[in-house]
Amino acid sequence: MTKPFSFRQAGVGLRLEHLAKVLRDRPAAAWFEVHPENVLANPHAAEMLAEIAALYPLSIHSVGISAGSASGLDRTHLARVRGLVTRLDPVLLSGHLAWSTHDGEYLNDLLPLPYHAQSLDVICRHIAEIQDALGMVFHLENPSNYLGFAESTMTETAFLTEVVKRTGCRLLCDVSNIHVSAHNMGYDARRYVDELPGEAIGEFHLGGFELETEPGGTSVIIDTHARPIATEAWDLYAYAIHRFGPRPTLIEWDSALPAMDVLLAEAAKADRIAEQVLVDRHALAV
Amino acid sequence: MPSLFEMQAGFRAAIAGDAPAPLLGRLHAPASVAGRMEIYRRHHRESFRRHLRGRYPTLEWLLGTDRLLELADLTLQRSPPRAPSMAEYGAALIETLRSCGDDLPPYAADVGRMDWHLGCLSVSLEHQPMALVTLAGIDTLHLPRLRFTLQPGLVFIQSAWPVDELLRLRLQDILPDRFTFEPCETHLQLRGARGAFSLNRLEPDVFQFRAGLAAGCSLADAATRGTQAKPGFDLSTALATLFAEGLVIAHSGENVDV
Repeated sequence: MTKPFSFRQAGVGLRLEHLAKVLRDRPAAAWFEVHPENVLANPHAAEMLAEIAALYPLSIHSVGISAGSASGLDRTHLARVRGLVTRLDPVLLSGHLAWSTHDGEYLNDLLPLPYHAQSLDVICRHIAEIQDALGMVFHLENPSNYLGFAESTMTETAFLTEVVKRTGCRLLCDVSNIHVSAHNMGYDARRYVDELPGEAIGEFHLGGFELETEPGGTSVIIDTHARPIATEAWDLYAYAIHRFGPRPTLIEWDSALPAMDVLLAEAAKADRIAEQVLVDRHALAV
Repeated sequence: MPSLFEMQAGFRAAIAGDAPAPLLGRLHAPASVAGRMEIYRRHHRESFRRHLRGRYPTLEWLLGTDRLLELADLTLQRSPPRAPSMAEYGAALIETLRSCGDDLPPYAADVGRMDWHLGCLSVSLEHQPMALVTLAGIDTLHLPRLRFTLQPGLVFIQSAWPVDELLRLRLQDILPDRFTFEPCETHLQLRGARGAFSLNRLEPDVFQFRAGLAAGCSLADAATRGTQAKPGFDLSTALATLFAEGLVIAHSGENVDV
């Protein structure tokens, strides 16, 4: 059964600390996103999540599926995620343009890929396998970058476009990641947005980040998901909505987790911005 | 150009401890590449440190944060994670504690074991317990071969030290000026589910009986373990208490030919 899913309202990331409170208080959230890796080894959390799935639309966002790993997908993990998909009946499925395992070792991070023919083959093969195994369209998220590879032969947006073309997957456009990467790598964030295949974007993400000063006096933005969304990210979100129209939008907050009310207030802000952009766009059109 | 597999092997080596130098020439950033690489190295180290601190709170309280972090780093180096869920990672720290025996209190590994199991069982589920009367219909000839499935959130720990006292002190946040901690053979039953746990000392015979059942022994073999621990072991009472506490959720073996 497919649950009613109003993507006009932003959802929020649901972390273990909030599960019991969500079940008790039933907050007015439009939808939640969960990381399967947080609950697969936690039967109590999985039990609560199954109850929450009956009340709210859920999105499954895997942080450990490692679609870019040259040593292959972890099929045991994929089977466990499939079990969760069957149990929770999610409305969206997503993961990252990144790798996090090597030869069976889990590195607990979203690590960067060079963008060339070989990595394209690897990630396309894995996304096809994920989509077949889980029976859902995969939404591939653009990463936050701190460095690039000399071997890359294409831009990130060209790479994403080609993955979409080859696999039929969709894109999860993490607006904050675009700002983070643009700052860290020295390119224009709006130009990056302009280069994305807009029709393939199925979801937006917004998360908090932190600025650090580097030894040479330059600055780097760390994608921490531990703070409110910054003004620059809200502005870029408005730009993306203006360009592509509304999509399901999610507020991510993973560490230094505040009360659910704070997350819902951020989601409400996303809704207001999207609504205003659409009003402005309509006004321009008439 | 190296293969993607070789590049990822180099990246893994660079963030998980080895020198990143061989990789740096192939990376670029508008700032120091080594500095940017350090972001990944730091995240890798800190995320596991944070996780292991969360899994070993009594050990941290006992040894201090700095010492626990040293042990966490050593564990990560020796036994890197092989599963995607962080919750599944960290049992290897107990082995690290054993291997560092001379530098640590003799009870550190047992405290670690207790911390680890409490973390695991407090997220488990409690299932509907079976009533003792369910056994009434089983032919008495088959009873010795019965095997019981116990609640999943149940662990039995035997220690040469009263490590449960340390846990109680930590939970009450009591740091006594003077604390006498003497060796004392301790038999603990740890039970938990849905975010809560309890910890009880058992008599040696009851402990051996229950631990035997939990390990998959038949009723007869578990009873033998109880009797070996204490010749006066009372099987009837032990069995009745086991069911009265709601520890049994299923049984098998009654259909095995005798």
